[in-house]
Amino acid sequence: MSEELLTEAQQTAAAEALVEVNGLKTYYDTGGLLGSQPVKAVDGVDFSIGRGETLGLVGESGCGKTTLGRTLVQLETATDGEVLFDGRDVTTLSGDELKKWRRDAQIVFQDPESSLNSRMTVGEIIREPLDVHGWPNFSVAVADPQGRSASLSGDGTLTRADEQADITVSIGGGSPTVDVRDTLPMDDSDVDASITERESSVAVSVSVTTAKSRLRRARVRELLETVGLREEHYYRYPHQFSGGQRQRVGIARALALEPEFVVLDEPVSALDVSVQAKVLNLLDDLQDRFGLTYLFIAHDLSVVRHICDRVAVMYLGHIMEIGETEELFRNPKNPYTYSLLSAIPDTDPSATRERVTLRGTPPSPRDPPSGCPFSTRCPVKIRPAEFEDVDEDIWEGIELLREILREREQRDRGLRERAKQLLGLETGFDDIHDVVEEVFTSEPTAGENQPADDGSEEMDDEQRLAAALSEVPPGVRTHVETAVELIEEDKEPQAHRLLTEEFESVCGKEPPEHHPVSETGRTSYCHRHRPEYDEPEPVFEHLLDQD
Amino acid sequence: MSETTDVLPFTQRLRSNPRPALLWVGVLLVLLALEAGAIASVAVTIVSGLAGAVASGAAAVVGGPVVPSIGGAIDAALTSAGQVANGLPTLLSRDAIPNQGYQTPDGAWHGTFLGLEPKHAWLLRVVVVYAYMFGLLWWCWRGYRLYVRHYRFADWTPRDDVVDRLRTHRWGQFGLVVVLLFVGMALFAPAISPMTAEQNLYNAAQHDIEYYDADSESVEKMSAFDANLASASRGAGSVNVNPWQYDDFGRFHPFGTMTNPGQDLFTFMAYGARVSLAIGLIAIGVSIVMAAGLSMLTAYYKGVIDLAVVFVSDSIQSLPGILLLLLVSATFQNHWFGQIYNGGLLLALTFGVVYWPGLWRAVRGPALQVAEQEWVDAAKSYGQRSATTMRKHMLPYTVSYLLIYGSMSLGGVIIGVSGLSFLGLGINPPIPEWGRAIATGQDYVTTPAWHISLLPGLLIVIVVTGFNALGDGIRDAMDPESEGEDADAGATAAGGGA
Ligand code: SF4
Repeated sequence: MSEELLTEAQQTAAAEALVEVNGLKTYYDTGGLLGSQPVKAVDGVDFSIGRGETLGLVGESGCGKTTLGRTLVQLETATDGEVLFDGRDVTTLSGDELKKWRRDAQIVFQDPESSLNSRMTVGEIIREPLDVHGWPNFSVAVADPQGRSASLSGDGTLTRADEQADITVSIGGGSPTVDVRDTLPMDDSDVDASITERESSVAVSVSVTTAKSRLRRARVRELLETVGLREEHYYRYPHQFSGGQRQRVGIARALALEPEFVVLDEPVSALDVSVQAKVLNLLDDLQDRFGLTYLFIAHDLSVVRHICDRVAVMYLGHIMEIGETEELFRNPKNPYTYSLLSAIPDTDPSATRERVTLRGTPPSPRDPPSGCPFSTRCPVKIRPAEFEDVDEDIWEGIELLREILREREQRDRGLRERAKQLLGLETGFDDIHDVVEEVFTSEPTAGENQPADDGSEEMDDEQRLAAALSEVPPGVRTHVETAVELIEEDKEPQAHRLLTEEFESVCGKEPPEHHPVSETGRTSYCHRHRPEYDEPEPVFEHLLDQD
Repeated sequence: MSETTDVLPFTQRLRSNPRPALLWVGVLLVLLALEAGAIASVAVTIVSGLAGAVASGAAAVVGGPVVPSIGGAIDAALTSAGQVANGLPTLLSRDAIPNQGYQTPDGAWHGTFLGLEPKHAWLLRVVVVYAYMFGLLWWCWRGYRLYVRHYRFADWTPRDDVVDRLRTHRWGQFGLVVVLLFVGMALFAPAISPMTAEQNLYNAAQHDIEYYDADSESVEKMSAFDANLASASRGAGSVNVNPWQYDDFGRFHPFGTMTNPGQDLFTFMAYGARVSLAIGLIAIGVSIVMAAGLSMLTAYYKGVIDLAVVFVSDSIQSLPGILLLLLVSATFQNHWFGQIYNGGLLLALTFGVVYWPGLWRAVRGPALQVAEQEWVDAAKSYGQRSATTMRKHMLPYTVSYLLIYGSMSLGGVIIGVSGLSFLGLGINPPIPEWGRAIATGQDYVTTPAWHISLLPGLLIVIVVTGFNALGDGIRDAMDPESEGEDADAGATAAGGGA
C-alpha cells in the first residue's frame, strides 16, 4: 500500500470538499443540579464531504449520528472543533451571517408527522423559508462585451458575470437583452432593464414587474411539482396527506432556498417500505438535477448501500470507519463495522460471513470508556501480551465480569444509589459468588445447575468460588480472587480498578488512530491496524471458527 | 378543486362571485342599523371612558390646571357626540317598548307599550333583545359558512373538525347558551332591566314616578326613592315584593325587590352582570396574555428562564389571594388608579396577577411539547426569527388550552369578586355587585324575602357552570386524536384543575 498515493487521494478529496469537519465535538449539558457529566453525543469526528457526493452516516440509535447531522446545519451548537463549509467555519457564524448561510444548508427531518406544522397549509409551509429570506433576492449579472464596470439600481444585487445569476443583462447594440434563469418562475419579459452607457462605466436599472408574493406562490407550486406533488395541494393541510407525501413536502421546504447541502436525517425510516424506494429515488433525482450534496443519516444499512457514495460508521460519538460504500460493505476492516454488517442477512451471497453477536449494550455517552469507544464490547479486543494464551471462554468471562462492574459503577451515579451509599445502606452485590460462577462456567450450565441445586447449596461460598475458578489459570485467578474479596468488603470501585489494571490492554487505555486501510482513502479507528497486532478480520475468522 | 394555475386572491374570488357576500352584508347592515343608536352610544361611552381615564391619569401625573381645561373640551365634544348617538333610532331600548306606567281603575294601562300590562311589555322587550342577539350571532355564523362554501380556497382545514365536534357537543352548547345569556344580560342591561339604573340604583331621589292613587282617585307623582322604600322587601311581618309581583305603585319586579332602600333586584342583577363580566374578562385577559407570553418564552428557551418563572409563579400561588387583594386595595385606596371603575380595574388586575400562574402551569406542559416538535427545529433551520417561530409555530397549539382554562377560571373570578363583595370589600356601593346582593339578603333567607340571597346565588352557580361547560366543550372539540398531536394529550387530564 503506497502511503504517498493515499495522501494524494485524500488531498484531492479535500480540495473538492464542500463540507469539512475537523475535531467536531457536541456535548449536551443536561443541566443536572449535581454537576453531572455532559452527554458526549459527538466526541471528536473528522471527515469531509465532496461536492455532489452522498455520505452515509450509520450507527445504532444513540450513537450521536443525528446530533452530528444537526450540528452540521447549526441546529446544535458545537462544543469544539470546526465545520468548514466552502472553506468557511460556520460554527462561529451568528446573526445575519448565520441566517444568510442557512440558505445553503438545509435538513430533512425523520418524522413527517412532526416536521410539518399541522395548522398551516402545505403552501404556507413550503413558502415560509422564502418569506423569511425575502426571496427572491435576484442576483443580477451584467454582460458587457466592452468589460466596463457596471453599477446597478432597482431590484436585485450585482454579481460577477461568471457566476450563475438570476438575471443576466446583456449589453450590446441598442436596448439591453434580459435573460432570466430557467429555474425562476418568471419570463424574460417580466423584467424591465434600462441602461445608461458612459465612457468607462455602465449604469443598469432593473425592475421586476411581477409581485414578490406572486413569484413566491409560483415558486411553491413549482417545488410541489419538483417533489412529485400537484399544484392544487397548495391549499391542503398536512393531515390530508400520507406519510410519503408529507415527507415530499418536507423535502420541498428544504429545497425552497436552493441549498447546496442537505442533511437527510433518516428520511425514509418512518415510511412504509413500499414508499421508501420512491422517496429515495426522488432524492436521487433531485441530487442529479440540482447538484446537491447529501449527508444521509440512516439506520437501515441496505438503504445506505443503495444510495451512498461513501459511508461513515459511527459508534458512541466517534467515526469508527469511513470509506467508499461498496468496498466497506464487502470488506469491512473495523471490528465494529464487521459486527454491524454481520447482522444484516446475506448482503452478499458469496460471502460466508457469520453473525457476530455483541455482548451488553453500548456504554452511556455520559461516561464513555477511555481508549477505544468500542473496547467494552469488542469481540476482537486486543489482549495484554501476558494473557495471549488464556482460554477464550475464560477471557470472555473476565471481560464480562469487568463489564458488569462497569455497568454497576455507572448505575451508582444515580442519585438514589448515592444517597443510599451516603447513608451506609446496602448497595452491594446480592451475591458476588453467583455472578462469578455464572461468568466463569464455560458452558451454559444454568440448566444443569438447577437439578443439582440441593447439592450446591451445601457448598459454602468459598467452595463454589473455587469450583467456578477451577479451570482458570493461576495468573488470572489470583486477581479475580482479590477482586472478589474487595467486592465482599464493599469496595467495588477498587475491585474494578484492580481488574482494569491487570487485564486492560492498549484498547482500553489509548484512543486509537484513524488508520488508512485501503487505497481509496478508507480509514478505520482501531489499534489492530498497527503493525504489531493482528488485523481484525483473521481474528474474527478464528473466533467464529471456534464456535 | 379548480384547475387554475394561479390561485386568485380572496378579493378576486369575491369579485367573481359577489352575490352571496353582498346579500349577507346587506342583511347584516339592516340588523346593525336597528341598533345604530346603541352602537354609536357605546362607542362614545368607550371613548369618553378612555378619555376620562387618561385625563385623570394625566391630572395625577401633571397635577396642573391645564389638564382640566383640555379635559373639559374633550368632555364637551363627547357629550355632544353622545347626544347625537342617543338621537339615533334604537330597537332595543326602553323607549321603543316602555314597560312603566299606571293602571286606572278600569283596568287599562297608561304609558306602557300598546297599553300592555308592564309584565308583558317587559317580557316582550326581553324576548326581542335576546332574539336580536341570537339572530345577529346566527347571521355571523351563516356568514362564516358562506365564506367556507363560496370563497375559501382550502376545501378542508383543521378548524372544520373542531367546529364539527362542537356542533354535536350538547354540554358545550349548553354552556355556550348560558354564557351568551349572561353576556346578553350584561351587554343589554339598560334594555332588559325593568327600571333604569339611574332611577333604581344611583339617583332614585331625583326621579319621579307616576302612579294611580286609589284614595285620591287620581294619578299622583312621587319620588322614586320613596316608592322604592315603600316597596322594599323586609322579611317577616312586613311588606315583601316577591319575584314576579307588582308593587303598590304598579311596577313589575321579575326578581322581586331588595331590602332597604328597595331596589329592583333584576335591575341590580343586570347591571351587576356588567361588573362581573367586565372584571372577569379583564382579569382573565391579563392572565391569559401573561401566561401565553411566559409559556412561549419558557418553552422555547427552557433552562434558567423556566426556573425563574416557576419560582415567581410558585411564590404568587403561595400567597393567600384574599390577603393580596386586601393589601392592594389598602395601598391604592386614595390613589387615582384605585378609583377607576370604582376600584374595579384594580380588582381585575389583581385577579389577573393572582390567576396567571395557574394558567401558565396549565399550558406549560403543552407548550414544552410543541417546542419539541420538529417543525420548530425546521423553522430554526431556515433562520426564522424566534419571536415569529413562537407566534406561528407554537402559540396556536396552546391557544386552545388558554381558552379552556380561561373559560373555567372566569367562573372562578366571578365567584371571587362576589365573595369579596360579600365580605364588604371590592366594588363599593352603589355599584351593583352580585355578591353584595347575597350579603344583604342573607339575614332574610328564612323569611318571605328569601329571594334576595337565593336568586343571585343561583345565578352565580348557573353562570359558573355555564363557563365550565363551555370550557369542556372547547376541550373536547380540540380532540387530541384527530389533531394528530401528542401535545394535546395532556389537556384532558389536566383540564379539571383550573
Ligand atoms: S481498538 Fe481494540 S477494542 Fe477498539 S475496535 Fe480495535 S480491537 Fe476492538
